[in-house]
Amino acid sequence: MTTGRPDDVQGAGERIPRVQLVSAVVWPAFVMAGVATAVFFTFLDPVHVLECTGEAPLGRTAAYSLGFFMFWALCIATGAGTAYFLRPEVPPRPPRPRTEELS
Amino acid sequence: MSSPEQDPRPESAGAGARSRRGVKVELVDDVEKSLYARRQKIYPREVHGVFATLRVTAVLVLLGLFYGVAWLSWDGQQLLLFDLPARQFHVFGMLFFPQDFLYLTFMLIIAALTLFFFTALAGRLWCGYACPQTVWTEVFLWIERKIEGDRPRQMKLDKSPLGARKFAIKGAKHLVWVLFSLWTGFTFVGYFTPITELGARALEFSLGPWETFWIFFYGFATYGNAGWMREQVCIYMCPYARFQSAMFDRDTLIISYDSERGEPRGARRRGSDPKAAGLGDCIDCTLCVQVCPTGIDIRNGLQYQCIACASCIDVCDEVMDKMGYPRGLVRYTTENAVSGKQTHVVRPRILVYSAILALLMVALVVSVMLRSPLELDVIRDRNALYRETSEGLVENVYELKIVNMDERAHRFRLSLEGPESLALITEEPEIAVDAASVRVVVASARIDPARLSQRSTEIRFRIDSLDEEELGADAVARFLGPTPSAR
Repeated sequence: MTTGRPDDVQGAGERIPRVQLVSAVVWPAFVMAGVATAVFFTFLDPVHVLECTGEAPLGRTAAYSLGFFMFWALCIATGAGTAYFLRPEVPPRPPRPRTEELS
Repeated sequence: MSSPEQDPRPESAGAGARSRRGVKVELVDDVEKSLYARRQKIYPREVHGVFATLRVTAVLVLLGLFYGVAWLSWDGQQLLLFDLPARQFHVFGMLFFPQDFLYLTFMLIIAALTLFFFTALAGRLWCGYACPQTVWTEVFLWIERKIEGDRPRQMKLDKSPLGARKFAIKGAKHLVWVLFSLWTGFTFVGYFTPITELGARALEFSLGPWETFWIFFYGFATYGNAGWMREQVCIYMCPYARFQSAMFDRDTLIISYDSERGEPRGARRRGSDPKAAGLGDCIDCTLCVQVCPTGIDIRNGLQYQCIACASCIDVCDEVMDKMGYPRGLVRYTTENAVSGKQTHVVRPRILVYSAILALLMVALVVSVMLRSPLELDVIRDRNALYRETSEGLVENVYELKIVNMDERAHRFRLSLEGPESLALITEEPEIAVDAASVRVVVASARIDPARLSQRSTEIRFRIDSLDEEELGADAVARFLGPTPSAR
């Protein structure tokens, strides 16, 4: 049975707990967002970037934080996509028996 | 079944508890038939013993370090500060910059290998005694126990309808949890922005929006993970729990139930001869299940949910003492020892891990020690290739970036090497650079074009400290002039 609900992921005929599904998407995304933020801002000082683009002045802490959440959102989107496409295909319903066959 | 007076098992472990546990098992089955399995709340029973004492010691030391080190400073400089707003990292008297991130990568690789090494040697020591998840959960459990009472009291409270008393007890627990979490969040942020200033601003309620946000964010993570998620973090979120078995071999220290000795398990009167009754040493008191923070039964064998906290060892030893049986029905052992073979501590796996680890550590220490605390970058002025002065000399303009990574201020003398009669023109022959800072100065070089043999000549800028011998840096630049044939 597939209800189309996000927690209805089936693997080898088993359902996994919802907390596992959510953790499996959000948590690795958090870790990778942390790595991405660290690498990105190692090479780019947000203060210099913002100076060049002439954007509104934004402190480094704010830029780091926003950058982190941008990366996190991106990674969550990727992970959620993977989880969604991993759902097994819905087998076609067998055709309904005709009424005359029933009688 | 023995009468309650003669039953050595504690109250909640008796038949009543068993039947309650029986109901629980059915519940899980029911729920699994629905859309997703609901988590059964685990109430770990308090435990005393050798390993519990070890764990409490580890918790006190590690949390003491976490909450304490942030406040240590030397010469007015916080000893461990990853100053993100300033893009400077102070590590016990050494200063690092973002371009030094290779050292951080190095450190992380060493940390991972150390984990592998200890896992191969002694199993999940990390999980049971040092993992932040274990350490903070231990504190949260302690707070819960102090406010709600012991395991049976907690279970009774959760079953009772919500009234004024339950509300007050639960409210008090969450209040203490939240306060402790916020203090944790504050300390965490204090490693990334100077903590004394942060504290002063917190007292004045004038924290910046992002500082406030991260204090609450990290506080919430602590509260959620240690208060609510607990063992689920280990089971669903921890990658180490999943792959640690790859580092295990038959000589790795594991916690194991001696089924040979324990089975067949069963209740018995104290002082009765188990052999006569056809029983093993396990009295089936289920205390090992009750103390388990991840809610597993160690008697079912090695499971990946087991964080090797050794609570089951402590509690089983206590029971064995009461029964007058030898200790160690549940104990630290190795697969080889269990199957009667010899355990090898020194083995190829351990030697390989130690060799790689030692090599990396030496490399890190050497590279940090050889690292120059001074950096000089030269950038040619991009506006013009060269300029001719009124005296007919050719002039190139350079921007010199001096990075002083030392925790002290320095004065430098600038010099220039190149073809003969190359002159250095600068407004500041002596350049003062503050501690841990970057200065940009403009300098130019002039020469008679007749002295140039080619269009582009290599020259070398050099800075030498006037206050510390052997502190200096140099950088190569190009001096451009007219093509010699065009003269």
